[in-house]
Amino acid sequence: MRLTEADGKALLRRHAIAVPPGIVLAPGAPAPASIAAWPNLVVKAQVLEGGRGKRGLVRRAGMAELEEARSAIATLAGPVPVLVEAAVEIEQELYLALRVDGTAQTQEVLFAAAGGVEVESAPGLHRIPIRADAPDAAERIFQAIRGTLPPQLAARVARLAARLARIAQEEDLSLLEINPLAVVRGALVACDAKMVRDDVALGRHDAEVTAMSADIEQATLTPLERRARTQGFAMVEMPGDVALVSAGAGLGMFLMDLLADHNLRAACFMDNIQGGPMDSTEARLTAAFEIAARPEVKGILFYTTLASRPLGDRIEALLAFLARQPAPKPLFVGFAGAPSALRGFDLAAATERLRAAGVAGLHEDPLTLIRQAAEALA
Amino acid sequence: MTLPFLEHFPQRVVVFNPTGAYAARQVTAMREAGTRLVAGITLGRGGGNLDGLPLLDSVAELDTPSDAAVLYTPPEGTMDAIRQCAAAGIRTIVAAAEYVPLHDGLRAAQAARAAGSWLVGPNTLGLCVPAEGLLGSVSPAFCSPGRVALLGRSGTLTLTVARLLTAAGIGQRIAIHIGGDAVIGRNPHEYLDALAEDERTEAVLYCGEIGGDKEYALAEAVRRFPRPVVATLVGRHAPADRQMGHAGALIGSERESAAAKLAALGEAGAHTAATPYDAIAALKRLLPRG
Repeated sequence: MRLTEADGKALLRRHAIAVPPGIVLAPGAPAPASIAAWPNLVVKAQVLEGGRGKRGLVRRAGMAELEEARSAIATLAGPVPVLVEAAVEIEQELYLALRVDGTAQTQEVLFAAAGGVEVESAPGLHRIPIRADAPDAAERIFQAIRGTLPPQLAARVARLAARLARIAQEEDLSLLEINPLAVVRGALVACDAKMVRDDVALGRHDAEVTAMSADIEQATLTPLERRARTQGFAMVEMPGDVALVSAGAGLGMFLMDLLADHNLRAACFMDNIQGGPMDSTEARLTAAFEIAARPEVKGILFYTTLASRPLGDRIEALLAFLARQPAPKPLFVGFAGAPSALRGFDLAAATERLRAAGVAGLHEDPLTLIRQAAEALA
Repeated sequence: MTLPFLEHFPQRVVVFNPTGAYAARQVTAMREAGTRLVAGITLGRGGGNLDGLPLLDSVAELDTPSDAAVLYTPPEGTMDAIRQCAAAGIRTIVAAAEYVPLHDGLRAAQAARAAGSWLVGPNTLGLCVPAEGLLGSVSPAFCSPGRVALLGRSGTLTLTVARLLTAAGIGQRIAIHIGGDAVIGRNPHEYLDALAEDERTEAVLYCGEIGGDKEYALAEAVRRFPRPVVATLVGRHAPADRQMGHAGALIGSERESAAAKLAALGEAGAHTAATPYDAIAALKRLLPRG
């Protein structure tokens, strides 16, 4: 889950990392009188997309211009919360980030002596592999960056980077980026924060404190995608002409590719999510049939491969669903099961029953099945 | 380093947390495939048995060391289970759990590597060495003995491609689901380097997917691999910036797209294929004896 800047800065504050004084204002909420003490303000839209500065979603203002700035942001981004911060006098902008390099199997510090836009891909970016639990982590970082900054400042950055590496681990962050990391009267202040928390570790952390981020992420989903999550599976809706019901990410992408190679586009992609039920076939079919009812969607493809879970259960779920709700568009079905998945399953009888239920195409080979679909739906 | 399970297929396999419904089915399938299971490890069930498989509270209670462990431990316990196996000197560790937190996976992979263990997964269906044995749930019925090493990043795709290879008359030296997470025990390039030492592998079929950068390290390994490598990636038509199931399957930049990664692999000398079907056709040309 991508955290908003405000949620990210609250996290930093909990770990005693310096951030500018700030307050979150919900749309329409009055600004508290206390911020009048801040001589200058920065008003920032709390959205998850990058490039806010370029889009006019970050504005400098005095107290007198605050409402005007909020109004301008609302015009561009809609009714979103804003983070209002005291502007700080920046002497130097640095770039500092922590991420996990999966291939090198290490945490990695990214550092540049100049912050700014697209610094991640600019020359001068240092990549420093580290072990957060190593007692000499700060020294190693210092060695790598010492030539880029005066020694005392380099030491300060190195110590901060080592602390952030431990924070990233403790907070299950796959990315922790501070850009800019400002030098303010010799101290380091995180003026922006971009963080991504590992979705599968969300249960380890208090959901209340990142509720704003979760709400904003939810708002980016379609109604069917949101419903799918509550029913225990992930769905991605796309512009397409075939409602695809599958299980397993690789198999799902394989089927999407085969459809596209036959001038058909998948209108959705489905996969399991953590904590979902053992079988969500009925909920997946319900979503797929709703998508298939749209005029631009021509057909439905259902395909499954199982190594050990009983294939019979899944096919029975399909047959029961079809008995209640005929497919709104031609339905193409394929499945393959290993012997342990087929135990007690009468393949011939199931095939016969699926045909009787009006399935338009049936084949165990994905390519043959999609060719059948392409021919029928052309 | 060679692949320990190809050098000698494990003869003393333990299964962590074997008593759940899913795991118990895999225990049955592994036994049917001839895999020599010696014990189940499940805290609180020591002294019992699962259909004749003795259960122990801890891997430390084994009389004779184990040479492979298959872990059906839930995600929150997977890191510790892997570290226990590594500390016990178990050379092959297969960690099935999906949804292992990233930093747990990282620490577990580091521990296994430091101990000299070969960690398959997390988030894996495991591996099948046809005619020798099964660690996990890559069904032997989908496989047939042969000379092609199949490496897959996705479980369902590994199963599907093993089945298609077998149907096409192309046998496998091994069919292995290496894991779909951003951090897995060993990266594709390490498998390829190890397979170079295996004389019974005559070609490699790599089935990858969008997201991450593992294929760039794989491309470097392709340059030094002495036999043909065929590579295909799924997700050619996936939208950018949307997570397609697996934790790592997200095109965050052009470099992570199927097209860019296939181009890098092709430039390094791999035979690239748009689909697994095209990959199988390429293998037929490269291995005319089937």
